Amino acid sequence: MLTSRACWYLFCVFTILGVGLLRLSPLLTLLGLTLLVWFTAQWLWFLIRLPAARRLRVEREVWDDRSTVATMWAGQTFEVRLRLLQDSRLSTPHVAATDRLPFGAEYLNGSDHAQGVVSAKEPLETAYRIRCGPAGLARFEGVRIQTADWQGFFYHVHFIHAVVSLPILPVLTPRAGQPASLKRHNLLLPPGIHRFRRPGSGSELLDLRDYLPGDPPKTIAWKVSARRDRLITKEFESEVPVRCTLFVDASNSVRVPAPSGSGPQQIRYGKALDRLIDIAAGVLQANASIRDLTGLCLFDEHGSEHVAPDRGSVHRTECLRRLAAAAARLSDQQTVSPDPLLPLAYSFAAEVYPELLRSVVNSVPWTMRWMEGFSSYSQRLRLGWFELLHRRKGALRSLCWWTSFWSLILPVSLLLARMLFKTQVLDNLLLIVLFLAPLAAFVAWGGAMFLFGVDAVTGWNKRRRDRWRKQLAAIVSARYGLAPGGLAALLEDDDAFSLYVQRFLNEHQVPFTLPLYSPEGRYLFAAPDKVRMLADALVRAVGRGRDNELFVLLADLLELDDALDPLLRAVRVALGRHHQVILICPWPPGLELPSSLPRSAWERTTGRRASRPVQQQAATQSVAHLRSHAERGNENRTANRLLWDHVTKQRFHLAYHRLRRTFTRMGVAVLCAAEDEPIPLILSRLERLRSLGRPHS
Amino acid sequence: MTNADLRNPLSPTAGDPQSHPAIRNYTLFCLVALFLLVVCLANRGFEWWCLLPALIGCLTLLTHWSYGPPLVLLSLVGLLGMYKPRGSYVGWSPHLEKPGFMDLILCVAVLGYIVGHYRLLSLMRNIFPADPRWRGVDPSQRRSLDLVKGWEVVLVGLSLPLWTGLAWAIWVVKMTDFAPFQVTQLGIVPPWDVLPSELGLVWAGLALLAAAGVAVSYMRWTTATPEESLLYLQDRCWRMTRREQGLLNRWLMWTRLRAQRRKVPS
Repeated sequence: MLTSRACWYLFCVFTILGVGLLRLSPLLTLLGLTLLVWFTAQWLWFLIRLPAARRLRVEREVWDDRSTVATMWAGQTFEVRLRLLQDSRLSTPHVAATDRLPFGAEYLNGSDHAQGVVSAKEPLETAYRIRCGPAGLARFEGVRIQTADWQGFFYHVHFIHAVVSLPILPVLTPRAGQPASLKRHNLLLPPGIHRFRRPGSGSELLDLRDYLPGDPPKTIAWKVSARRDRLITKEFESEVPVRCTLFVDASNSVRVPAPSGSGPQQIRYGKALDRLIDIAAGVLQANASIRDLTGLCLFDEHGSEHVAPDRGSVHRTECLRRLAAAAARLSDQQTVSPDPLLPLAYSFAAEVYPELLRSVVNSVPWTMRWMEGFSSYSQRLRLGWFELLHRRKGALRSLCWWTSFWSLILPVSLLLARMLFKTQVLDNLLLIVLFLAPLAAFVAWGGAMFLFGVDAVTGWNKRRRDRWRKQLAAIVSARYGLAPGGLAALLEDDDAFSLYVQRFLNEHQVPFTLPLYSPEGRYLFAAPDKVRMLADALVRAVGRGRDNELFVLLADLLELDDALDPLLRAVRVALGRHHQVILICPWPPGLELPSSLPRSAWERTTGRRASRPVQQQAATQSVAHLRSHAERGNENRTANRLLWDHVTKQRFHLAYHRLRRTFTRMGVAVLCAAEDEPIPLILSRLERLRSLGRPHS
Repeated sequence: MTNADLRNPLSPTAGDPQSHPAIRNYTLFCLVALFLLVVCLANRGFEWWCLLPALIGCLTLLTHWSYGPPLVLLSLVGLLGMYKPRGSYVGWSPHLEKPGFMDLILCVAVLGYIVGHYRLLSLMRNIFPADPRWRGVDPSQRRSLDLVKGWEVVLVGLSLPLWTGLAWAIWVVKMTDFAPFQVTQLGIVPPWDVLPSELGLVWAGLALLAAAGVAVSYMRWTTATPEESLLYLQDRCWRMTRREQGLLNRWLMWTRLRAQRRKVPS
């Protein structure tokens, strides 16, 4: 609570008082007393008013240009109005309130920071504008309150948790190349209805044929029948709507955030799913404007949910809500090393939960940091010597004590034995032990002191990381119901700690990156189960469909070559029923597009077409080799990171080209979602379906 | 202009803060206090040395150096405690003497300078502790100039005699007969023989501080959230049993890892 300014002040005051009393100087004593009385009064006044600051209430409203809103739109600007109120009779000390912006929202103008004294009559108000990021969820955590007196002697910080979660819906913007939604000529059909060259109940004449019993009399062409002297019936074109069903992959692999942008200021976290949702929303909007039917199927490795093709604003809003809900889900937890997550999670906790990091409730004993260390048993085999030393200082200390114990006990035992049995062997043994025992104790303690000194000098970062880990483990243990034994368990078990930290970050919508490959080179996000889910959903959609269907698969199928068979069978069924299928493959943000590499790097370098298992094995081995190399060598981290990125890119490109080859053979167009082509391609396919004639004729 | 300036239109960096009335008033207030200090010290016969604290105060005031008040106070300790003004005989007395009127004025002046300088620092540098993540001065950590009312300086000026008067009252009640050294026929009795009987005031002060600490701690626990209380209990439990829990969990980890190794042979 006392700032360094106050500590210096108190030091001076007590110096004045001490010198004044010892030298019997009335002036110094009175001066010291005056300064002390004033300081005590300020402290008491601050303490009395502090509870008022802790009981502040937050009112937050999000406005668009007209009124308050409960949902936001991606890419649009909104105004956030914030009020801090309190009901106490006493006013607060000087307060600075900073609203915490949700991740993904971009600050535009205004002030998210307000300061002043809050009283019952004078609330603190501020307003600022933000621009929403991609579709998902905007979570306003609350307001960080800093309290201080006007001299800056006393300080208190706490966080008012006023969580407001607003869904961010995908934006609906008209696209270039979108067909006209107005009926321009009377001969054209109403929007949403398209001619189809099969006999039906439309209004356009398709053909004339002989009358068959059962044909309605109104279809008889009387003039033609009179000319030909037999009954002729008119056949009309079929007029059917065009249906488009979007299969959007919401599995774990497309929900992994990846950094994009250049420079520390411009860095943004994006997901591959953002682009898929953008494409889906664009198609939805284009179809809705011309009253075509659009369906939606969201699937992941656990199941799928289907929205039947329909038109209308209610249906469109429902689809957008489902897309936003899918985008709001962050990636599932993976068992990865917790070290990269630790700074992010601790920094976030320090910002949002400062009261839970106070040493009173969440302490880190100094003996633990300096004398013992956290053992972290699950990682013990992967540690270097210094790291092992840092984490096993307790064992080292125990070793010293045991050595000292036996150095004392052994000579005494031998002395007693010699008193009972006076033999030459015992004499010699006693001499040796009397020489070696103090030496062993000296070596043990001296070596331990040396190693402790080395760790004290080199282990500053390790001690800081230990403190972060203990405090974070305490918070997640209490938060997820693991107390009281969870804290110690999380300190030993790295995997469990990593999972709980990821859950903590996910709950607060904090984006974080995860490695895409395991240390063994295995792709961590390949989920073969989702292929089966997609295939089932596609077959069901084919079963429910009629003519003129377009199925757009927005799915990540990379590195799933062995599990594609069910999907390939389902696609063949769809094509056999004269439907059209397009595959849009999501792409991690920031990764080089595959169109820049028309042939795989493997084929270029080897000059021959290698089989897929050989390619995959080579890529896996290279990833594992690089990973082990990167872990061994610390001196060239940048080069290792570049190599690592290069291999990851190569592996993605190989997988994409394999996928493209597989589906192109069946006549299915495969596109990369990160390119600009997917929406125009889907719209052009829909336009072909709308045009006269059978699509495959 | 930094990002923090953009986010905070109330930031004093907008325009020249030196010309703001709040800064001007507090600077003038401090200068007047330093002038009074010089007058009081000169009255005690310090000749040119009386300018030393004022010079340090002026320099640190102009540069907004946060160590100005401690330096002024320590220079005063040096002057008043160690230095004997030439031409004046300051004889040693076994008892504290009663302070004079000019001593009271000096106390008012020093307190005025301290208050003024610290408030000025809050306006120009930071009112909250500096965030280590920021390099340089974070404008959002300052007190906004627009929040300073005109009556603040007047109120500070009027309250100064009150604090000095309170200190003087404590003096009169408790410290008039204060004498840590007693002179006997054998010489001076060392203070550690006398202090236990004379320093009741110190004990009273310590007891008061302890009571205040307990009261503050109790207040905090009454307003603690359930999460804080749970965390506190978990922390106590962990601190008492951490070695046993650590041993237990290491065995559990060993079991789990062994099961994993058996399940997935490398």
